[in-house]
Amino acid sequence: MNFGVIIKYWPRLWSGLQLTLLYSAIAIVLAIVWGVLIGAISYRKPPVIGQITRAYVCFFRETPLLVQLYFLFYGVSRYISVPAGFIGVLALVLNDGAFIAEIVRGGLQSLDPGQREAALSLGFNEFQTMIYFLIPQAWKKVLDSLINMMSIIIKDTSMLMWITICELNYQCNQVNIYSFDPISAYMFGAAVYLALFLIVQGVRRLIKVRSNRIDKRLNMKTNKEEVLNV
Amino acid sequence: MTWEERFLVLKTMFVQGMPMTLKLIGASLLFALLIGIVLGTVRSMKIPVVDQILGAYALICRGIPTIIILLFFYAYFTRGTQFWISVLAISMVEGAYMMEIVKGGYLSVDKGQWEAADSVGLPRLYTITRIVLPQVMLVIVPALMGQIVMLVKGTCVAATIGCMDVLRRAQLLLPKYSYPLEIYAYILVIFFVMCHFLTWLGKKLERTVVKRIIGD
Amino acid sequence: MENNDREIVVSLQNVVKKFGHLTVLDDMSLDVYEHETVVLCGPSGGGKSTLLRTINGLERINSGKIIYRGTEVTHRNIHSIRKHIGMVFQSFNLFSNLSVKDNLLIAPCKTLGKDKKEMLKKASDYLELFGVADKMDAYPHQLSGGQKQRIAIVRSLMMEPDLMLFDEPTSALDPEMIKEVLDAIRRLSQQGMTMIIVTHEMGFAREVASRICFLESAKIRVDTDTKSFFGDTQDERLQQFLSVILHH
Repeated sequence: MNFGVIIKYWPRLWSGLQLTLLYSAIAIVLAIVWGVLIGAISYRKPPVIGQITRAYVCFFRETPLLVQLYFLFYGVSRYISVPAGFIGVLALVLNDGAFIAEIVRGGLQSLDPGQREAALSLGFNEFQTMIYFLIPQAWKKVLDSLINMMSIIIKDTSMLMWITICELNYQCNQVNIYSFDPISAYMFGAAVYLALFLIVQGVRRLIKVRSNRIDKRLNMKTNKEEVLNV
Repeated sequence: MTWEERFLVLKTMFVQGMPMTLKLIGASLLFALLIGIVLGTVRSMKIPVVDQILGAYALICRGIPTIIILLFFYAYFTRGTQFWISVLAISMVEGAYMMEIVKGGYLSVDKGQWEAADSVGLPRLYTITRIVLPQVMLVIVPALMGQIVMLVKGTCVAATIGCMDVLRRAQLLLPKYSYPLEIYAYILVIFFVMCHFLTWLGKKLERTVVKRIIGD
Repeated sequence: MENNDREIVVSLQNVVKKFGHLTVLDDMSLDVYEHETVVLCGPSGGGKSTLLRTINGLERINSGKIIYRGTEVTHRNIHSIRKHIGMVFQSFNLFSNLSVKDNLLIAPCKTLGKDKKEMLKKASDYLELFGVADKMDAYPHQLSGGQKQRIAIVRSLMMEPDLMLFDEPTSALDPEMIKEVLDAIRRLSQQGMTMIIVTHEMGFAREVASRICFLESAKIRVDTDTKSFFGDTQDERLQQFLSVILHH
């Protein structure tokens, strides 16, 4: 790997990295909000809307992101003029949001139905039950998968280069074109993506260790109680 | 678009593009499964050094976008067609995921199965191929089918380096038939049908074969 | 019964087995003669199962010798020796991806190179004998625990073993199924099969065992014929153990 190339094209790569981080951050936040919303709806299965969300989740999970991007960018934006960045975020949110929705729905379904019944019996309405009780409980269960989705979203932003967004992957490609040095150009990009992946996985592990420790403490408590009862 | 144009577009996509897409899927799937099963088996043995190398391989393939690996291979390898470069990149990445899935499958097989095979004197390799691996494959059907769907979706990146698959063929039609919304919609539907069929097949396998043999 | 004129099937000589710092078998010696039914009993953690597993090479020993019919068992020859030793596990360990038929046929056909047709006949005879004749084409998950264990016994018998090892064969079973498995083992005992059985079923032990060993803290505390085992034992720990087990 030739660091001269990296240094020479640093401004380019740096602006690419900034865009990648920006799009990742926006897409992660919106995709989680969207995914939780859709996941909660498909868990409750209201008539018509429930079927629509199910069809949406199914369709977006089973078609390629790249084609979704092309479809929205070259297809839809032919009729309505919208910036590429908007389309990019939209596609990421629709695509990865569908995956998150499935995760959230799975988390909600794994909860004890007694929780919902108890909340309803105390006079909370469906919406309050969802917001105050079910989603917070499911959140703990799905957090690990959600963090995993974050690294997937970061990786997915690399597809945005195909709709004229000059993110990191695009800039690496450009550097290769200018420098004829594929190793330096792509290895740099690969290393950055890998580093981002490792950071996210590190956070994931940290949270796991912490929640394990809390679980352990709770377990010890219950054990102690059992001992005392005996 | 008139019906005649529509017919021509679809014909071009199916006659010229689909064979390439199917070839991409077939070849990538074959190599990815091969990598997954062989290396997953090796990984389950936890051989020092080898396991670290395979762990690094898995990390790289999970951490780096496929597209950047593909573009790198395309720029780096001066020989080889776009088809084979795409197959290499896709099967390398998907193979790593499958390796991890297969490894997980091995962990779920009860130790008693190995002991029972030992106690009746079955040779090691035979135990793996006849007893343990079949159980692994049955257990991982849902995860593996999910990954195969990812692979099928993932093959369309080959179009970005000029591999003449269904997506690329469709793009080449765009200058002549300027209906991107409709043409891309066809591609979406084509991939949806393939993936949904595989998802359905996976569920079917789970409900029939897997349930019949190893129960719930 | 006089053992002097009978051949020793398996002999453990000063066997030591450790798991990390924990000694599970401490300088243990045991001879098992032909046609004997030896029951190993004692509190859990006493090393009974480990003893059984070392004989079949499932655990490697740290020192000492295991001699099977005059040959020392090493990791080199364990593979061929295992073909003569049947093992029945607590958790059955039927191959879960194979039907009952394949479970029974796989080992003799593959490792002994027996004729498939002949073995099929033999398998159905055994299944008949043990009351599971209709289960030939079932998969393990479709069977009850008692049926699984009887089929696991048949799987071992298909190899025409010279010695059978039973590792708590009834511990994972519901009470109503224990009897059917014990009946199967009793039948083998009557046929003169050499057997080593780890069990907590003391009533059963009293009935089938020719010899009983009481293991505690990695040692054989008592090794005597069945009659005197339940009779006037001097060992204090054994008395305690028996009083707990028998009055349970």
